[in-house]
Amino acid sequence: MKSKLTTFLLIVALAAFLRIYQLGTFPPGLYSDETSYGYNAYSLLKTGKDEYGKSWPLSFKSFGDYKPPMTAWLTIPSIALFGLNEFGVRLPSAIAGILTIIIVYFLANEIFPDRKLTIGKSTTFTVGEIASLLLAISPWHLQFSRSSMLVGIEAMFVSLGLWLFLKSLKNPHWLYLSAASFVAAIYTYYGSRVTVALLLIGLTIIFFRQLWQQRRTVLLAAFLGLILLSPLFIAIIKDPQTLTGRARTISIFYDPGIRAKLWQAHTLDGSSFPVFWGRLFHNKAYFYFRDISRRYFQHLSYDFWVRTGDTVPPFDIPNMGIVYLADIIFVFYGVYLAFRYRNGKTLSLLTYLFVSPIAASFTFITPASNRAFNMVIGWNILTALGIVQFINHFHAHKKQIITFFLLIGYLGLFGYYLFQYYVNIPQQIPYKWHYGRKELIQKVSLLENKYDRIVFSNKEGPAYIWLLFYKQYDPEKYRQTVLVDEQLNELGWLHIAAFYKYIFPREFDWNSIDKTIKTLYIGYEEQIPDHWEKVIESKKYSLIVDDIVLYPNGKTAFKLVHLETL
Amino acid sequence: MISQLILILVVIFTSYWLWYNYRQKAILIFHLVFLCLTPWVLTLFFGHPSLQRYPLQKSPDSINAFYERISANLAYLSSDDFLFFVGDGRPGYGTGENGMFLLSFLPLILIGTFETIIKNHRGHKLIFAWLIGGLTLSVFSSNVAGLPAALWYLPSLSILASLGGYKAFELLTGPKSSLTVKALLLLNFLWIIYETLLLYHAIIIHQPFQY
Repeated sequence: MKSKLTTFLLIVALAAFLRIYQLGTFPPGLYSDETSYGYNAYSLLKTGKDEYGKSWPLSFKSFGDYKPPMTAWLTIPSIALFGLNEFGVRLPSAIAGILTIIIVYFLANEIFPDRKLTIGKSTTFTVGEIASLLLAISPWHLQFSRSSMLVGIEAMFVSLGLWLFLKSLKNPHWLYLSAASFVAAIYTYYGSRVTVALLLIGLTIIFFRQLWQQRRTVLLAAFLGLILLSPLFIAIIKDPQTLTGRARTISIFYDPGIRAKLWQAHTLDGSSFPVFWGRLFHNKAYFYFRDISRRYFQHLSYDFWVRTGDTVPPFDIPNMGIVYLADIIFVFYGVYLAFRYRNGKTLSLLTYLFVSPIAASFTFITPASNRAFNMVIGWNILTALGIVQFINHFHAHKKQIITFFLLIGYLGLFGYYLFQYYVNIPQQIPYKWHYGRKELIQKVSLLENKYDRIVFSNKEGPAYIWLLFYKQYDPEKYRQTVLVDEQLNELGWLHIAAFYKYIFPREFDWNSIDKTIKTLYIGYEEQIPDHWEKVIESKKYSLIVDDIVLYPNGKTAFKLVHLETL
Repeated sequence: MISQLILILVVIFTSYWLWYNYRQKAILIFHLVFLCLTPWVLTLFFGHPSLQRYPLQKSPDSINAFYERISANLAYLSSDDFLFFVGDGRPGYGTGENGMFLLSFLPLILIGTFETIIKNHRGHKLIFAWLIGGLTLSVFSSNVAGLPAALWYLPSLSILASLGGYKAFELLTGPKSSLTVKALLLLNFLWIIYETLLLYHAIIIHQPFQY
């Protein structure tokens, strides 16, 4: 018993170290969404209102994407303690990641209590121990635990809800906490509105008899859930944007691609083809169904798992996918075993795994490691089951050899991942994490008194948010001077045009941008030429580079320039 | 001509395999009917795929490039796009509107796999060995991943689809299944009919010159 506790504590300590070590420095930079959550939490802490002046909103307007509130709420105490910085913003996600590993330990042991790996005479490992260890070193889980990306917190609540639900089969009172946990997930991430609903439908079908026997408790738990959700319902009635947020603009129904394919199919039929048959063969409903199915299966592909992973910034890990190559064999074996054992609990785990990518399949940016993040829980538990039962096939002395080689293999893969994360991300793709903004704002603060206007490029992300964040700009002052352009662009983002003397043009094109002296221009390296001279109204203007910001690999990230008359 | 000959051999071998292991005429009939509705079979029969191999070459540059080639082959050949949605994109190697199988075959392949796992049928290990071994051969056998390379493992999936189809039909017509299961299976069979019409529509109307 004592050794079990030691093993558990060692796994938690490893998970905590991997998630908190240099949290403010790696990943390099602070992504725009993280920055927005940080500043809105800061604004709530200081004024009780978000950046737009709305008191304790249930969805943050932010960049026009109406972010769900839980992450900002959880970030408030962290910022109050550690200040408005990268560490303070990311700490809640890191803690959620550590807690998820603890939950997975209990969840896996709840589902597979009798499956144990025995090595030697007395050393045994439960599926829970191996699953939590695998999750502790999982690239997919680490990626989202070390950044403030809401899905890490959501997965914690969903897995907690599932564990408590399974516990409630013995003691129905756990159902109340389970309901509260699922509701918390809904307050954390839009995708949860689909994932939790489908998971609950699945659980109801699987455990219908047990739930029917406890129908009074079930009804009360459902009622509790509805009460906890009622503020959200009210917010949705008041502002429909709260219902969908950015999901509206990234949904496949917003994507013109399907309509183009439909048109192409009708064109191939030719004008003489009967209309009835044309409509029967090529109709929107079926095209969307195929598209959703295709996007769903992209989350179950080798390419996504091991080869290229998620290439959408900032979720890219260079030269690898989102899981370890060795996982593939064991996860398949684990799924096979879960089907063979098929009881209510294994089926609920399989349901959790397979409903997780559904929400992501309705968006046109797939495969998406963030929107399908809940898969990571089922994935690691089933991999652990596969490992346990695979090694158990062997005789005593062979078990030790197999375990040794497996350990070496995983250590090698883990080392490779660490190299990609700590060396290659800063060297190869720091821009995907918006690296350089902190250094840029520091330089701007030194130079800005010399200028009447400061013009920022919005390329790669809305520049205003880093200004607010790194300058710890007073939210009240910001709200007094900000100019918001509410017209959304094609990706659903609104535009902050200016505040104070900072200006953010929609397009930062050096040739067409309004050029005046006493203005500091800030853009990416490729957006501003090294040398530029022009005669305007008989005055000759020349470009002077004030400063530059470098990436960790020595390449130029930003240029800070102004014009002088000669 | 060569592709048709290979197809005949595949049909004979898979039919013999099913008969040897299951001894049921109904499964054999399902198998033969399903083969007529399978895009990769129709492509071999009506299309013009060249079965010339481009053997995988060890890259002189580095072992990484070799690994990357294998990895890319595996990713392509096991992808949903190749199997169910797009297929081998080259003209004459498929319609481009379907994968190697109709999407409606997927539930049948899953049912067949599940049945094979649960029932421990004779030859159940062999079918998975064929699938995994065939996929491995496909990945290593060609420098250009596509239909010709995939012929090593596609027949094993067709067998699983046939087993699944037979099981689905049993459940649909049997007295023990619930109404929901029956409705879902009926829907699946209707879906197969719809997709078959779409497949032949694509072959006859959309791409008459490639077939």
